Amino acid sequence: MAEAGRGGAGASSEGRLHQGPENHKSGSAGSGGGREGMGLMPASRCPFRRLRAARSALALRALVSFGLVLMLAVGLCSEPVAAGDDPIQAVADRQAEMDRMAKAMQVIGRFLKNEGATVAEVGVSAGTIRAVAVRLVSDLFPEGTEIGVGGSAARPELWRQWDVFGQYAANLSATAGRLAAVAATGDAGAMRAPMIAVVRACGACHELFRQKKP
Amino acid sequence: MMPASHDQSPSLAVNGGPGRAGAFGRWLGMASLLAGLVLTVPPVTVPAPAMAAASRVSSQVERVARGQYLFDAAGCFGCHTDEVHGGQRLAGGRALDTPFGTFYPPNITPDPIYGIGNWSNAAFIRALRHGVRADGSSLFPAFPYTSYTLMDDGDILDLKAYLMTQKPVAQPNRPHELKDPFGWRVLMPAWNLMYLEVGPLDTNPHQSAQWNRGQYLVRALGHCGECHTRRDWAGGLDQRQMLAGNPGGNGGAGAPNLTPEVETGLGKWSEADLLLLLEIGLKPDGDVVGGSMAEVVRNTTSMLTLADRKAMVAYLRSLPPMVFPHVEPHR
Repeated sequence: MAEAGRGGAGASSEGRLHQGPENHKSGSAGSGGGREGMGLMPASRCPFRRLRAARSALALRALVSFGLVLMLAVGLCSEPVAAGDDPIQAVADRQAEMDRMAKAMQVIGRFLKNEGATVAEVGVSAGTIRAVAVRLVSDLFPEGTEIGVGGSAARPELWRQWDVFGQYAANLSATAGRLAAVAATGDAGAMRAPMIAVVRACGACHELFRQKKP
Repeated sequence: MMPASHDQSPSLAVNGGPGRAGAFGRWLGMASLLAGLVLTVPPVTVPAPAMAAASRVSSQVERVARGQYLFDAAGCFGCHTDEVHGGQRLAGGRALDTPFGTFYPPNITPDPIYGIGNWSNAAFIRALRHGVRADGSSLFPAFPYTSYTLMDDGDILDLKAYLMTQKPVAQPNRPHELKDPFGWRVLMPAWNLMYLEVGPLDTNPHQSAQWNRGQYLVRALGHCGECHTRRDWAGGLDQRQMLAGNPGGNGGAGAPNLTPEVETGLGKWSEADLLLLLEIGLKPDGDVVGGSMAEVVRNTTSMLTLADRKAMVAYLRSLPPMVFPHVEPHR
């Protein structure tokens, strides 16, 4: 789809709204790729910690990220972003971000199919998915970008049921956060369930709000 | 056996006056009771009645469990529940928009008046095998009896046993809203003559057990062809292009080609790709299935055993490769 626009849109988007929660969690204010990597730091910084300590740290992280996601959801669910000057460009930017997410999902697919993806790669992918998921509500779906605008496949119901959309977005963010946390422990055996949860989170929203396609 | 017992009781009531039927009925009842006793008591060991009852209960439990699996594999829930509007489970009412009008699948809970609680086994088999309701009128093929006809009797009755354990809901059926002449039930026997190939499905002795299981799952239970096969002007499936895709399916968005053709079909998909799609809906390009297939994955293919998903994939990959039909979809 919007292959050509990916680099530009991805890069320019990093500096935009709502990086706050992300930075909070990772304690870093680096650029896109680095930030995703930093998200995995706490566990990898202390590789010799006992399992139990890692578990409780994990639980704390999960709790904190869940809380942040919840705050974000409550804070942003109320209203969609107003329409911008260039809705066609907004659709192209969105699709570039969706493509970035699809590339990350491919890594998850390769892991599930035993096609050579590593735990660390899945961790990075989970970070990417979470970063895009946070932007779904904050700026990727401004008003006036439904089906008919550019190549948009977003059904108008998405804006009519904005709260529902917000819940799906928060759910994706939370499941991707959990996957990143599990990947950070390096436990390949525990990855399957959180990966499937991420896939289901994508699918649930598409089922309702994306135009059917063959 | 089943049809015979079903046909007998009404004929008794019709043939004789009330008194005669009563006497005759009592005599027949006594005779069959005696015959039943003679036939069912094993010749050597006489099991304790409690044990017999226990084994009946456990076989009934097994039957219901098998029925539940078949219920998922046949995807009954999705159409017969108006999930989006918070409708009660299996009480019907979910709108199916088609080029022929809007269908509202009926209540299939065990409610005796509004559901199928009073249906005999024979009537239930007839509905799935021949597309005929308990009252003798025709069903429309929006209910995929054209696929369920391929199920075997045992599976159909297991499915019924499971349905009978569900919560009865007294909710009347909503009439379909169809365009003429597609809403004329009297035309359906003619349609059936043209399009219905009555099952059950024969086992192909030249193929493996896995392939045969896959064919049964794809064609009979999963009714994949109902969406993934092109239909003609009257809504009949184009058997020559079975599973080669349907430009008019999926609510007009198109249902893809499931044959292993390289350009328009699944020729480039590995077994693992197909298994992952059936299990969680993730495609090799990182996209996730949406629309109708998301529902199929959630309610049906993800509920199957891995062995059954593998059988489906083996069957699909054995199909003759066919190109996705270019013909304009019927409007």
